Amino acid sequence: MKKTLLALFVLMSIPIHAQSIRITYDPGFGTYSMANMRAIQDYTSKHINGLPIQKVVQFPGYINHSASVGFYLDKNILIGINAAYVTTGGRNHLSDYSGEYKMDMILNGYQLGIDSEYIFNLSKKVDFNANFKVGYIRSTLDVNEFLSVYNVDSKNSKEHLSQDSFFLEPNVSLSYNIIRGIEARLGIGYNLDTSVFDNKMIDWSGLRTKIGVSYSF
Amino acid sequence: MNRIIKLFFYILVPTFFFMGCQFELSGDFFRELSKPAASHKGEITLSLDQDSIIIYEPTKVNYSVNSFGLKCNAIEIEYLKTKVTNDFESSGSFMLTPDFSVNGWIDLKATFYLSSGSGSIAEKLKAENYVGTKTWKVKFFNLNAFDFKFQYHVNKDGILELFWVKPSCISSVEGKVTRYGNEVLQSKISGDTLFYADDSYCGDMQMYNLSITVKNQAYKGFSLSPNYPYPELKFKSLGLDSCLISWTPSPIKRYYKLNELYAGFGNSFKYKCTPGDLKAYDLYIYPPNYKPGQFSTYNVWTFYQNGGIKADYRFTYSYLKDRFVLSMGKDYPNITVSDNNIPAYDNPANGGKPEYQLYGNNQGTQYVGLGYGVLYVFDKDLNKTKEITLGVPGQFWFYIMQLTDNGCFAYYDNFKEYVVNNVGSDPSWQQFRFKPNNEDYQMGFMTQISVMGDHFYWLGKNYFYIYDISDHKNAKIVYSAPSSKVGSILANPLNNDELIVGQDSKIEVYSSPDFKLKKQISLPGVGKIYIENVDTYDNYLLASSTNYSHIINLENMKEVLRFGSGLGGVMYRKQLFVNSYKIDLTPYLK
Repeated sequence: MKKTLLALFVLMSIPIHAQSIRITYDPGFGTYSMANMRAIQDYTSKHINGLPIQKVVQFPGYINHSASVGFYLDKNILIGINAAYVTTGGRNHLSDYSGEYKMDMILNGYQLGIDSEYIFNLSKKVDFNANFKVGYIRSTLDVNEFLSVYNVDSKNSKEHLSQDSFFLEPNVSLSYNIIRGIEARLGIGYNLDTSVFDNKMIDWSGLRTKIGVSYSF
Repeated sequence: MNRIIKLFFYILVPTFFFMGCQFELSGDFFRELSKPAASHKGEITLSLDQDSIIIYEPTKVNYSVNSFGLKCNAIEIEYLKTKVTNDFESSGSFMLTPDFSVNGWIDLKATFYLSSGSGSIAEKLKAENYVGTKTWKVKFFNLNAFDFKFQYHVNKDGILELFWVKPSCISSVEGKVTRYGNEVLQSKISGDTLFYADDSYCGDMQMYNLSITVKNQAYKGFSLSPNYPYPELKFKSLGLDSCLISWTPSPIKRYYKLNELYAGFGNSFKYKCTPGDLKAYDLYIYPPNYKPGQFSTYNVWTFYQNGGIKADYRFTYSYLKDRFVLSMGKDYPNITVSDNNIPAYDNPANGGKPEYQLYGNNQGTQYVGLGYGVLYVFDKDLNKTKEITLGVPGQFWFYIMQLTDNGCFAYYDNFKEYVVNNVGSDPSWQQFRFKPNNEDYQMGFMTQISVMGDHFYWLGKNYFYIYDISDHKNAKIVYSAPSSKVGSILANPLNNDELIVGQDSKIEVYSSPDFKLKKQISLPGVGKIYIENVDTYDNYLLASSTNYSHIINLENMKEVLRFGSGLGGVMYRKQLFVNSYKIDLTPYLK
């Protein structure tokens, strides 16, 4: 973490070549591998006193958020910093006349990395961008397990876990210059979470589609 | 530039998080199930098939739940601070370990949980069960500390009865009572107490063993030794000719037999016992269920003589000097004077010095001691004056020896001759022998010589003769009669001219030698009478019939005393000497 902050500090201390700075906000929809989480979910659903627990929600793809601040090294090369937020979750559930069992698992990922982009000017209004991000992911898992036997007893347990990993995310996008300095952006990319190599629990690897807007000044 | 970066971090990034963009979970799965019935049948049983359980040792207890088709989720067994659980099994076992510090009954509680089988969450979590419970009462019994109270007593029937207390709460406890390996059978049960009556026990120390078994395994043993003593024979004189024979009473009932005199369950009886008759009394002891021919358990053997003291003397009495002279081994070869009380004396049977067969005259002036074929003659001062050798000892046999007041020592010699030795001072003769009618000899014949030695009396098989032997040369028959007219005879030591005759149920005094009846006494019903002697001290005659001794005052021919005896003997100075005993008859002759 300290190394990452040091890199950003160095990056921000270099002289700006031109007068342009770009701020980009790219919300989108991402899919998430979460193979191990699904395995865990599946295991827990089958090993609670033989109860036929259903996996109601299994870590689906979901809206994510990404924002960058880039500095033009020249008119086609941009380098900057990027922050993103990804989230998904899973639920096991069973209820009947006698009680209820529920296990909710909320996953959050906080990415912070270096954003670099090469801009191909296709026309006066349209650009094609090749973007590459690399950085650090801080992941958290909040598990809330609840069991209730009506008129008998209930129990609720919460657990918070965290995980650290790195990511690589190549993207391509098209941008349309709406008015001077403001562009609409449409892109797709793939996020590769290094957790997959470490067989860690939370793996955010997956496609990233984005619709965003940027402002250069 | 810095402002831009700050703007980015402080505005945009937090915006992401406060936009409420975290993933939201939604969706449930509700499973439709039917609720099970409110109750279901189930029961639990223990291998100890009792509602109230008594434990005396660590005991393995099996339990089993009959769930009637349902799955048994769990069984819990609880007692004191012990809890045993068994999940998902319908049977099992546990050790029930006694805690003897706990008194009284405790609860043994079993709870079993039968799954409803609905498949619901509650059922799967074993929260939905048919719950059954059962409670047993348990008591810990310290068998080691139990007092079996193996004891004995004598029951109301006089039978030795052993008993012990059985811990009724433990049915596997058994006991066997034995006496030297022979089992004593149980006779009755009263509550927890088992009784064993041993009617064969008659007394003495006997060891009884009680062997306790638990589950047919030897557990403990006890022993005890009752010791009711065997009886001691006791005799109490009830007078001259009777006594009370008794023996120590015992709480044990026994059947007694004493010689042929008594048989029964009592402890005493009155017996007509003859004075001077030292007799062996043998008391046999039998169990109360005596049967003829049965061997006795024990016998007590005792000699008894009713009254009197031991007086095994060789003695003679001279009434004119009123003194007894004795020959005792300790004084041999001398003879001694005794005071008239005649102290007790028991002639040593073996190893003692010899004693004379002693004869004296009425005056107390001459004594003759016979020993080993020699006559020893003593004067009035008991000094030996003469010795007369009669023959080799063992080759002669003297019968009815007498010493007259005029120095004649006479006897019947070897069934052939009557011999009169002169032991006095008359120098004119030494010895006179003659042959009576030897053909008339028979066992029990009698001879007598008059106190002055002038007449000899023969009572034989067929004849009674009176001889005149006064010249010490010839024996002339001066009177004869059939012997059937004369029962027994005695020359009266106090009257030279009298012959005392014992007849059938009468005593007669005849003059001698003309044999005229002078006086008599009739003793009806007593049978044949034998004349024993005359107590020259007071002129009392001692005679015997079959069952009695009679004392007759010769002065007036009155019977002054009769007592059961018939043994004979002699009497001097009212002292009866019989069978080496002396009985003082003075109290009876006052």
